[in-house]
Amino acid sequence: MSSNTQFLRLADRLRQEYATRFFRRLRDVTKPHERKLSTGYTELDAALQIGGLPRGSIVELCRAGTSGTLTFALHLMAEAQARGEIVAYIDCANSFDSDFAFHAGLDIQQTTFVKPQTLSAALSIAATLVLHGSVSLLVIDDIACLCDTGEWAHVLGMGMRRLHPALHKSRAVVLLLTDEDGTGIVQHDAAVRLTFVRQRWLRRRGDIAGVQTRVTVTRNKFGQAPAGATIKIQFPDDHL
Amino acid sequence: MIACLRFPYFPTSIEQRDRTDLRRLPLVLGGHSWQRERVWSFSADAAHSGVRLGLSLRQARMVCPDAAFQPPQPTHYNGVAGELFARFLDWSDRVEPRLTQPAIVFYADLDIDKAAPRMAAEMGSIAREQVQLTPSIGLAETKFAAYLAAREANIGRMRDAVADTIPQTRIQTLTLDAKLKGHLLLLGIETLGQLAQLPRAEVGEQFGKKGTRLHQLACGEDPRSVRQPEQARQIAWHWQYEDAVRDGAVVRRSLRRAAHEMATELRQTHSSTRRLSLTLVLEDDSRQAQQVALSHPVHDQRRIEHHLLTLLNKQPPAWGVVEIDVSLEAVAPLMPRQLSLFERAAVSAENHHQTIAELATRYGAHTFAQPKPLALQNHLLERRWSVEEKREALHATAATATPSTHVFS
Repeated sequence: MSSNTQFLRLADRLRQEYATRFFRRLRDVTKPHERKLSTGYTELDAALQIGGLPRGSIVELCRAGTSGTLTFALHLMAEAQARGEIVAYIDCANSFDSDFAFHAGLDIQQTTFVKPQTLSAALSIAATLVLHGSVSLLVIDDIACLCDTGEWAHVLGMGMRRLHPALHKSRAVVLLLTDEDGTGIVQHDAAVRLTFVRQRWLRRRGDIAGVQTRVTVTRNKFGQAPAGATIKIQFPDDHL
Repeated sequence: MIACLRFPYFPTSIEQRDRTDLRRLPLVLGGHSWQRERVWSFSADAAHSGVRLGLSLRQARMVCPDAAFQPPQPTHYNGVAGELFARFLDWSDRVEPRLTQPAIVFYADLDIDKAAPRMAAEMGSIAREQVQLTPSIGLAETKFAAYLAAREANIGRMRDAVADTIPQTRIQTLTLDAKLKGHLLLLGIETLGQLAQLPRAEVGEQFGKKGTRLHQLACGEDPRSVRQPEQARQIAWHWQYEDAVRDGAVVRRSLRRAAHEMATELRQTHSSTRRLSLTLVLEDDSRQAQQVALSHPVHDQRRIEHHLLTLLNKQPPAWGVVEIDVSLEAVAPLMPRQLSLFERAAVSAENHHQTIAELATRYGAHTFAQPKPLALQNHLLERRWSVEEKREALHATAATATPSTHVFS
C-alpha cells in the first residue's frame, strides 16, 4: 500500500473522529490571494508581493512622527471612496483633523466617523461594521490610547478574537495606526505590518510639499518579510 | 375517494419506451458502468437482481452483470412527467404529483365515489395515450391507503383498498428513514398492524415524531388532502447567435450577461433560485442540456455566473453553438437569513445606515458624530473651513460641555 493511500485512509479516519472541519488539506482552505487593495505605490505593492494590502485581514501601520502615515491612510480612504466603497474611521486618539482629511480628498460627508469611549466599544463597533459587510476600509487610529485600564490586554484579545472571523469572510481591510512604541499590542493579530520612517522632506518652492518615507514590511503572512520600499507621499495642496 | 396512479420505475420505463435495444435488458441509470457514479434509478429486472439506489455502478455491475448502464436524463424525465401532469390537469384540477424514486405517483381527488373506478380508469387511459406507459391504480379514502393499494396492484390493474390493506403492509417494504426502520424491525414490529396496536404515546416516546406520524398512518388517520402544488416561478433567458459560435469566450460572455440580467430580475423581485439549467442548441440541431440543483438558494450575479460556467465546463459543446437557453427554476421569495459570523450580508448603503443606526442606539449617538464644515469659504488660502467660526463653536461647546461631550457637533 503506497504511503499516499495510507495517508488518505488516515485522513478519512481522523475526519470521522474529529469532524471534517478540523482536518482539511491546505489547498482546500487557502487559495492564491486574489483579493488585494492596491496602495497606489508600485514599489510598495511589489514589496508586499501580492500586489497590495490583503483584503480580509488586519494591516498594522507603525509610524514615527511626521512620517506621512496618516496621509497614506487618508489617501487609501479617498481612493476607496472614489471606487464607490464605504470607509470608516475610528478615532481612538481624538486627533482627527477634518481640514486635513478634506484636503487629502476624503469625502467627509460620506465617511463614517466613530469616537469610541472604551477599547471594547471600539473593537465591537469595528467587528460589527466588518461583519455586516458595509465597509471595505476601516481605519483605527492609535488604539493604544484606549489601552489605559488594567484589563486592556484581555479586552483587546477578546475583541480581536471577534474581529478575525468577521474579517475572514469579508473584503474589508482594517488599518491599525500605531506608534512605534505600541508595536507589541497587536503583533500577533496583524497579517501585515508596515513601518514608516521619514527620510527627508520634499520641498516645492521652499515649502514642504511632502515626505519621502521608507516603508519596511516587517511582517507579511502572504509574502516574504522583511522587504522595503521608498515612497514619496505628497501632502494635500493648499495645506501646510 | 382518492385515486393513486403509480408508475413504477418511471425513468427506466421512459428509456425503454424510447429505445428498443434496452427493452429486454435490466437497465441501470447513473452513468456508464466504468464511471465512478452512483445508481440513480433502475428497472424492475435490475431491482430483482439486487440493485438499489445509492449503490456504486461498479457494485451494481457485480450484482447484475447483464444490466445495461446509461447516463440519466433528468430533464427529459421531468419533461415527460410534466406533460402527463398537464394532461391530468386538463381533466381535473385536483391532481398532485409526487416523486418517490424510482416511481412517480399522481394523486387525484375524485369526488363521486360511485364513478371513481370509471374516472380512475379514464386517467389510466390518458396516461397510456400521452406517454405510452400504463400505471397501476389504487382507490381509497386516504392518500396513504390509495398508495398502498396502487403498490399492490399489478401494472394496468386497479385495486380498491380493503380493510386489511394497511395492517398487512410490511414495514420492510416501506420507504422509511433507515434508522426508524431498523429500530422497528429490531423490536420485532414487522407490519403496520402491529404498530397500530401499540399506544401512541409510547410510540412517540420511543421513535419520535416520525414514529408518531407512522402510527397515525397505520391507524388509518391521514388528513392530507390532494392539492395541486404551487407552480414555481421560472425565469428564462434566451439568446440566439446569427452564426454558429465556436469560440468559448463568446459563449462565456453571453452566460455572464445572462447571469447579470437574471440576477437583476431576482433582486427586483426579492427572489432566489435553487435550480439552474443550461441548454445549448448546436449547429447540428442537437440539444445539450445540463442542470444543477443547489443546496442553498442563490440570488447574486457572481454565484449564478459561477454555476452557469461550471455547467458549461462540464460538457463543452463539440459543435458550434447556435442558441443558448438559461432558466432559473424553483424561484421563490428570498427568505431573511439570520446573520451569523460566517455569512456575508448584502453590501449596500441602506444596510450600512441601518447598521450605524443600530450601533448608535447601543453606544450612543455621540459615538457617531459627523464633523461638519462650518463654512467652505475662507479668505485664507490654506483652509476652506471657517476658522473663526470654528473657534467660536469650540468655545460655545466648551462652555456647555459635559465630560462626555465631544468636539464634533
